[in-house]
Amino acid sequence: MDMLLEMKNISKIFPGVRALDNVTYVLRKGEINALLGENGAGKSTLIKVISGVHTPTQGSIYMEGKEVKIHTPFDAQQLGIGTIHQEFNLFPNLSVLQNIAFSLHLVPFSGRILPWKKIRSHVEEILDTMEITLPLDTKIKYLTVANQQLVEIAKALMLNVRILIMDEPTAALTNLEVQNLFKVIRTLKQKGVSIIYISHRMEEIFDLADSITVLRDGKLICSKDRGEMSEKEISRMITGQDMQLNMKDRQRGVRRFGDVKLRVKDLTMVPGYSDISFEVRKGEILGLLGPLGAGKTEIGTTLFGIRQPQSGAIELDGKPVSMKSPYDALQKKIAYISEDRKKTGILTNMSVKENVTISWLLNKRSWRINKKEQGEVTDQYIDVLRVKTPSGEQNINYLSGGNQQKAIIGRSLATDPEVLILDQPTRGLDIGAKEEIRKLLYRLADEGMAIIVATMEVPEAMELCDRVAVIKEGRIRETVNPMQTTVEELTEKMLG
Amino acid sequence: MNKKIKTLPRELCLIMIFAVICAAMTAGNPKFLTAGNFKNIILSNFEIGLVCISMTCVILTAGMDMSVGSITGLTNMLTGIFAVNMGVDIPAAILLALLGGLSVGVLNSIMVIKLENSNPMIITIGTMVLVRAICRLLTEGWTISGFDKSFKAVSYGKIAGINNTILLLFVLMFAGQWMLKRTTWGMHLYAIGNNEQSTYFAGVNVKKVKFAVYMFSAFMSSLAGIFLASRMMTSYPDSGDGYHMEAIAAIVIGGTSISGGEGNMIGTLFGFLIIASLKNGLGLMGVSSLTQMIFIGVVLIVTILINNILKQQHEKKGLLMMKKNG
Amino acid sequence: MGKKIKINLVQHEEIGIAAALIAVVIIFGIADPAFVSGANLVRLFRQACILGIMAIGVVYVIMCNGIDVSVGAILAVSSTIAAQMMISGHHVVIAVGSAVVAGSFLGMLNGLIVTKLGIKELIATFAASYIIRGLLLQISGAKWLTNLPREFTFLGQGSVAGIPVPFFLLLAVLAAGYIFSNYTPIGRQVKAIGGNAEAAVLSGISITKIKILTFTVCGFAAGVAGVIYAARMGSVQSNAGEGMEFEVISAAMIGGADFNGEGSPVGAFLGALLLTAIKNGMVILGVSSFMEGVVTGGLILLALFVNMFRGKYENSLEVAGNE
Repeated sequence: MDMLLEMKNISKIFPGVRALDNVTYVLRKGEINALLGENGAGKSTLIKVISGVHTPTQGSIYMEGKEVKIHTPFDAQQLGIGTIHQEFNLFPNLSVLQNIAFSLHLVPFSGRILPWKKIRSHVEEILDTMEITLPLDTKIKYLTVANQQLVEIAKALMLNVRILIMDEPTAALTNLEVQNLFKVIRTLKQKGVSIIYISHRMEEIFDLADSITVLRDGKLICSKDRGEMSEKEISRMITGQDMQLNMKDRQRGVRRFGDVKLRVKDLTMVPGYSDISFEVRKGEILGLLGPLGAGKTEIGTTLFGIRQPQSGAIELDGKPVSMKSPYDALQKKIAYISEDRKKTGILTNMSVKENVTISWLLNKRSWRINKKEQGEVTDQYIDVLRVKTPSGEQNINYLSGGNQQKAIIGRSLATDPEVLILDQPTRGLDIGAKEEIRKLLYRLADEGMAIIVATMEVPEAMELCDRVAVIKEGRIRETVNPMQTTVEELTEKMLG
Repeated sequence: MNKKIKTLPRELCLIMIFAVICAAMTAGNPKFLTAGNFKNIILSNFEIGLVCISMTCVILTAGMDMSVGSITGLTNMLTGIFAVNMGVDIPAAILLALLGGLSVGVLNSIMVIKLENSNPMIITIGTMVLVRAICRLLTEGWTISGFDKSFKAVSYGKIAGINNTILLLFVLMFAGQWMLKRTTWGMHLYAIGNNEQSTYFAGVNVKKVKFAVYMFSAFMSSLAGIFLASRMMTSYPDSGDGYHMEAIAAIVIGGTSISGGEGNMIGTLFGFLIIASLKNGLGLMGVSSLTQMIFIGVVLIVTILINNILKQQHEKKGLLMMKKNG
Repeated sequence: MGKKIKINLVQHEEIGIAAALIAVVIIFGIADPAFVSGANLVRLFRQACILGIMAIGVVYVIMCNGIDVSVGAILAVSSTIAAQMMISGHHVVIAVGSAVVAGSFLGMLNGLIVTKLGIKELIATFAASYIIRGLLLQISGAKWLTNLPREFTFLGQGSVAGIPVPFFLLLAVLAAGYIFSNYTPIGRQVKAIGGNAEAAVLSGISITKIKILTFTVCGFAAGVAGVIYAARMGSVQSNAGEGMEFEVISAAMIGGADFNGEGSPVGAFLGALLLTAIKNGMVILGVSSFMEGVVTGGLILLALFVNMFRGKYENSLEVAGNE
């Protein structure tokens, strides 16, 4: 296999952050390279540089030995680099054929009149060589996620793609669909297309990839052929050997737990999760550890009344309950902090005060807002959570991500919950903010709150939680005591 | 970065625009600037003012109610039918008319909630067309007159020497402002317009709020129809025609955004006054109502541009403050 | 193979509208055979032209997540220009051409106000309609333009081989719209913007350019409709086209257009035919003309419900098909 892409000494510096630090990345023709790393390791920045969304601050890129400048996504497409993001760029109201035809402006059909017969046979031809079948005249909005993904691949194929980048492609697919996808990827490989495959799922990587590249903290840690590393070694590379956790230093000290506060029995909602059973005691922090698409969010939103389970039981203080809506859940003293604060968390353009007190106000008898009380509650949580804002009146948009997250946590805390569910609470936050939230959760647990933390990060699960339930594909595989395992072991359990 | 960014509070701008327009109208005809004339302005636009109040609430939630004028027409006609054609007592007639208007509100609310993927604008265009046709159908297009003289008191009655409707309008406007800024219900309107999903996740019963707001809209439109009947002492099938667009215009001039989440009742009050004054002042100058449209259209575009610029300035200032605070 | 065809058919919203149209024709035909007489059908087609052309024009604006409530005003301008020029003795072609160009120009102005001044479509076109009508009155006075020459009125009142002349224009506009929507890249881009604006931008589509284009096309259609209006009436008053806006938008939306990129010129055409057929049928049956609004309003709401159910049905159908 000869060299297709060479990225030499690539650095990408944002104000205050070195997203990529002197990375030299190499891709051969027909190679399937798995790109691994934790959130924030630099994977998506590297991808964005290759696909023209970012220009490197330093370093140069070569394709087939010649230097190239990739300044825009268009440049990348010209060079035959196709990207399939986690969120597809499809038009739901247009058919499969029409969506695929969109990428044809680069290929000889860009006349004034679209010759659909020619386009259709061209597309069918290419799909045939890949052994892909798609309902060409169905609108995207009626397609399953798996098929939509195939449409994205088909689009890339129309570009005569040489490098195909796939970002977490299997997060929403069933096993059968994953196998189908792999077949397609292998056919691409046979035709000489190189694939950069980002995933958390070890078994897939070992099934599919020729080589594995690990990034951490913006640096390329290692790049080896598949056979050269064991799963254990890879896990270690991802999380870093210097992250040995000295479990004795865990700041939580002796834990005393109360009665079982929340119990879940055989909770099932297919697709999403099945036969979920666990319990959380007062004062305990339970971790739900699992990769993307494992079902953590589905479980969390079910406990908060946003989704309804198909079968199974939920018990609070030993009594069966059902949560019909977020309001209902809050009444029962369950609070939930979602993973996507932009979409389902903050109220953009409203003040910090309003964001913090909106749930708290639901319990007040009168409709009239007691401004003084509202202000006091806001200030209280701004203080306690150390939210960096000039005042409660500040528009929440102007706060940093971490401070926005803290405000949202404040919103939940203001309702005086007895069960707190957090979905990836420290995602995208800097170390200082992570630390603060961790300390906060310890304190809340000490005061008797039952806490569930859903996360993808093993060290966080280990430091934070008293027990960790490993979730994969909607089922709890096993529950571990962090004191009795290591980061590597747990990573293996999660990914393997 | 030591740039000082000048921003004017939006309300100040509106007051200035209003003042400029009043000055221009007075220059055109000194009779404009009399107490009697101002009374006239409010009296003859009162019904639209009512609709503006509820429409502000609907628009804040990023929704739209195009059927307001038709509902006004409906209650206007129903009042006539009950009170005149059927000889029912005035209070009972008013109640029945109100019920009629509110049932349209129920229809709107349920559809907006059930058809969540459809735009409220198009849903209420449907009811708008439907209800307007019913208005005309009720009497095959004939107007109704012959109200009992006591009916006049609704629109023309006075409390402590001030006309009913003038009092009511300002009271309702200020009450509306209070409601928006000082009650949870008002806060929920802004929240839904800002980010409906987040509001739901925060525990707010979004469906209930939407139901209430479209009912409120139907209620105010119904009142408008009844007051209009009292003022004109006639019911006519095309009453309320064009209210929806005029209300939207007033609200947008007042700084409320059609995409929701932004605005307030005081702005709407000024928007209302600006349009009403323009119509009145130009009329006093002998400008035909068709020609008035040019001025209204231009004022509309100019104030929106000013609003946009103000918003941009505010954002720049906010970003600057953010950078300062790290 | 059979399953595939079934899915394809159901997906085309136009089939639903066509079915409704056929149903209406049958119902009215049974109620009074005069409805389906040759003479009446011809009359119906003539009546549908103005609404049909304007609906086809507005469909593109709607698909792009916009709206245009100034189409009535533009029609008034176009009618007035065409009529005035004919009265002043100009050649038919010049008069018609000027009117249509004027309409397109006004449409383009709408597009510029929306994109360059950043004013939302509803308000922008509302303000525009006010300004246009006001200016029209100022410039043309409240004159009632009458006695338009025969070579002009032929465009609205005449027939060729039994088919009304304006209907040929409607078909021409429909054909142009169909080709534009389905066979030109730009036509696809219009739908793309409504479907997923972010993806559209990433694909290199200029939303500004396309929006200006859709408004210009809408103005062009209103211009053509204005010519037909003047020709059919034989005279033009200053309040021409008043209140047409919502009827036009309704026709397009009954035909399947929504703010998310769904919609087609064929659908708009059928929607206009449907509304006209109902109007016409009611006159023949002697039903109060006021019922027309009830039916139109009811149809709009019905169309929305149908859309919702079709979505659910298609979803389950497709999921089943995928397994």
